[in-house]
Amino acid sequence: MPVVEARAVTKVFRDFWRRPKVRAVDGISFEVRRGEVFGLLGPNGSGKSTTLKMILGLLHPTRGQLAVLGRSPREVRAKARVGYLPEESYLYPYLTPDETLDFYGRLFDLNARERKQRTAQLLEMLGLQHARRRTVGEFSKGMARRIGLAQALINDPDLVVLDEPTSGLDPLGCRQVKDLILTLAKRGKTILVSSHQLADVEDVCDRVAILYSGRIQAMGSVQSLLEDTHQCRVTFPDLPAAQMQPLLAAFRTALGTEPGIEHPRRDLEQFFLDVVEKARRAGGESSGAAATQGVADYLKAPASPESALQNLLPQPAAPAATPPPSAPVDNAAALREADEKLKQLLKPGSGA
Amino acid sequence: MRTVWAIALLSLRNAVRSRVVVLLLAVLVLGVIGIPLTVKSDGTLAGYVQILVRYTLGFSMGVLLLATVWAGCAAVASEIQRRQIHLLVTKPVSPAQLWLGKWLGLVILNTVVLAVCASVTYGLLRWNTRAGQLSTADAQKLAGEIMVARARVAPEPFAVEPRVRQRLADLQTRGELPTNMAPEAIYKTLLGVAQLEAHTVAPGGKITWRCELPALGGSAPEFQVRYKLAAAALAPLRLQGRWSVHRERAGQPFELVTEHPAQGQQSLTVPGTALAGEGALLVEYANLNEAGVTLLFDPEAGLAVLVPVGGWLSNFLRALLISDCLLALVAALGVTAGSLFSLPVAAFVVFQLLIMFSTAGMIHSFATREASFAAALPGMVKAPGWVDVVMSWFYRMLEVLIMPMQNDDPLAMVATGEWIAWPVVAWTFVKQILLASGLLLLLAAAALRRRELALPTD
Ligand SMILES: Nc1ncnc2c1ncn2[C@@H]1O[C@H](COP(=O)(O)OP(=O)(O)OP(=O)(O)O)[C@@H](O)[C@H]1O
Ligand SMILES: [Mg+2]
Repeated sequence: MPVVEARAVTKVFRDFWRRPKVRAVDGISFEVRRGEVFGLLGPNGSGKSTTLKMILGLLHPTRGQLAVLGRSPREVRAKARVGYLPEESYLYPYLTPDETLDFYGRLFDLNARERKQRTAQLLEMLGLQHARRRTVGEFSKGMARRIGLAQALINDPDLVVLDEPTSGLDPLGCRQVKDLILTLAKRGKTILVSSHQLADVEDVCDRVAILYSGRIQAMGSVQSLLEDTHQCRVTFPDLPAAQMQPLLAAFRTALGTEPGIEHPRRDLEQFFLDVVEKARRAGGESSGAAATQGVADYLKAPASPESALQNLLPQPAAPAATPPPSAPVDNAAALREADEKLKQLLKPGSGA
Repeated sequence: MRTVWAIALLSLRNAVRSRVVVLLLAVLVLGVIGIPLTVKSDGTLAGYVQILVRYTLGFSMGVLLLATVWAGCAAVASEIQRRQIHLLVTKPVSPAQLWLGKWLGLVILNTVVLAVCASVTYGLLRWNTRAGQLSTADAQKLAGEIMVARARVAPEPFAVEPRVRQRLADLQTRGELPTNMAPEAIYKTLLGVAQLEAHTVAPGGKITWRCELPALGGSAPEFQVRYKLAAAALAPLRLQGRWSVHRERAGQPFELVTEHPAQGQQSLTVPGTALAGEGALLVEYANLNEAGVTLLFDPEAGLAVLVPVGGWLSNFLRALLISDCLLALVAALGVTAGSLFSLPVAAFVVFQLLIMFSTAGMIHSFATREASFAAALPGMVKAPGWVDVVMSWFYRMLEVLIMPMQNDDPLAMVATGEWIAWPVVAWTFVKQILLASGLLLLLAAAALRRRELALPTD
């Protein structure tokens, strides 16, 4: 059973006199399967948020069917296992982060102990521990966004719906959100993200649908959509010209044409991360969101029936001590390293 | 339940942090302290208690009522407007839980604020009447007549209708019904005349009221008979009469000859011994004046027997509970209106409803007019047209909705030492909280379930 199933869903916004005004979503059909990261891509106003709001029951489809976890999105019961980050953080300005997360935790009927534990872990993960006593109203956009993200995860949801999760976040936060998405996916959680940050989507999504003016223009796995099966890239360390020459000659003979050759570039994201990390090590203080690594412990617990029980056991300290990636050369290496880190994080008893 | 509490707590936090409550409390406490200083009392002790309890605390109630309308409407409406609802309804929160949480928050807030105002009022009352502050006579009056709780027992009304109907029928058979007057008007006029006749006592004549007393716990040292005279003779004539108060069976009658002005509110203090015996209490008045001095008791205000049945403070508490029920009902109205409409529209709707509540008496008369005349004058009133029928049904439906929500002003009752029985409190609770607020909850829940909460409201 797919986690989200949309069949010919159409949304027409009407004006006060019920005359059709905008056709925001136009007969889209797709399904999101258990454990996958599904991306909704599209330019501004293409209907991404509208689609997500329908999946959450905040809007009702004009036509077509929607099922979330096998239920109508308007059913209250279905919501216990869903986490949602809206496009903007609609938080209560007079609450502190602690109170905010505690409030949403109560709505999920979590007991006091669990709420306290999860709140602490989420704030640690999102680097907002030092701002616990300030009210959310005075937070910067990115800080508020982080609280929004935390409230979406407080119930350890099976389906996480993130509407442009990286908007307003610094590159560090972006990287972290992406790590988080990958970690959650590894635990068998289903994630539905919308974005127009193509690089973000490419890094984390298994499958994507590209929306344009309310219609799906392309859909499939990122691999299948982007793979250029006619080309191939080989990477090896930079060699002295003397050693390079015979290699190139061999290529030339085999291909019959000149092979492309260039130094791989670090991407700007990785470069930025490195610079910030250096500055942080040099001891710069910031009143904004602190640079942190890793993922809250309870979000990494194996997704098994015992997980609830495990949450009650004393938790090991969060793995804040994991060293940051040490200036890898290219994106592939960064991803590999991230993968390594995640693997390590996912090992039972990690972080102890 | 945890969800409901969480939402209630959230609204309380909001109220406290946004300093609205602080401001409200400041205004109210200033009012409670300031009004008695500025309003001119009639100089009597009873007048002072009236000002403090009825007007000053009544002022607090009024302010609180308006604040509740606004806060109630804003509870859900502004949450929708600021889109915080997006995060709320995507959690497992049912519309009913949302409503209950918001409502409970308001009820708690109102209760606290009302309790503070009432405590200040009571404190002031006690402080200004503390030992040594009043003369012995005044102190006695305060304890015995003002700060008491007396059940107000109205006598059975005089049965004048059969007589009026008979007269009307006589006039009709004799063909003497005025043709230039609608039968309703004739009936009404005759009824008024008959009421006046029943309340008139000619020289040498006598009038008797019959009161069914409630079960009295313990014996009262004394009780009051309160009555009002209409000006039937020219003031400043002084009237002489003899009162006789006793039980129907085996009673020890209390008799007293009085002399008092020919108009205004009067009070007669009767020793408790007159309550001995069984059956209804009979109150008789004999006109002892010389020929020509006829007496008219006010047919509207009439006469009432006031029997002490409990302490003042517990009565005050019951009045506050009833007031709190009213605030809770207004909060429910507000939260429901806010679930249906955007903030300004919701506030407008609730104020309209409150105006309708306050004109309930008019609606009641509209609703009952047609029906009572048709029943009273069979064959005389011509069948009403369809407009009349529709309007009459409309008013009757309004009446069904509105009349049960009407209370006698509980603060006015406490101020005059009138007893408020526990069953009255319980009934107020049942009808205003369980029934009316419950219905409003259902209405709001149904609306919220159907509504697309992500649509902008402005
Ligand atoms: N409440 C509304 N009333 C009328 N039109 C609306 C409403 N909400 C959205 N729309 C319209 O529907 C279309 C899709 O909007 P939507 O918010 O889904 O876009 P989006 O893909 O999320 O864009 P963005 O990348 O800017 O967030 C837009 O044309 C928008 O104007
Ligand atoms: Mg959007």
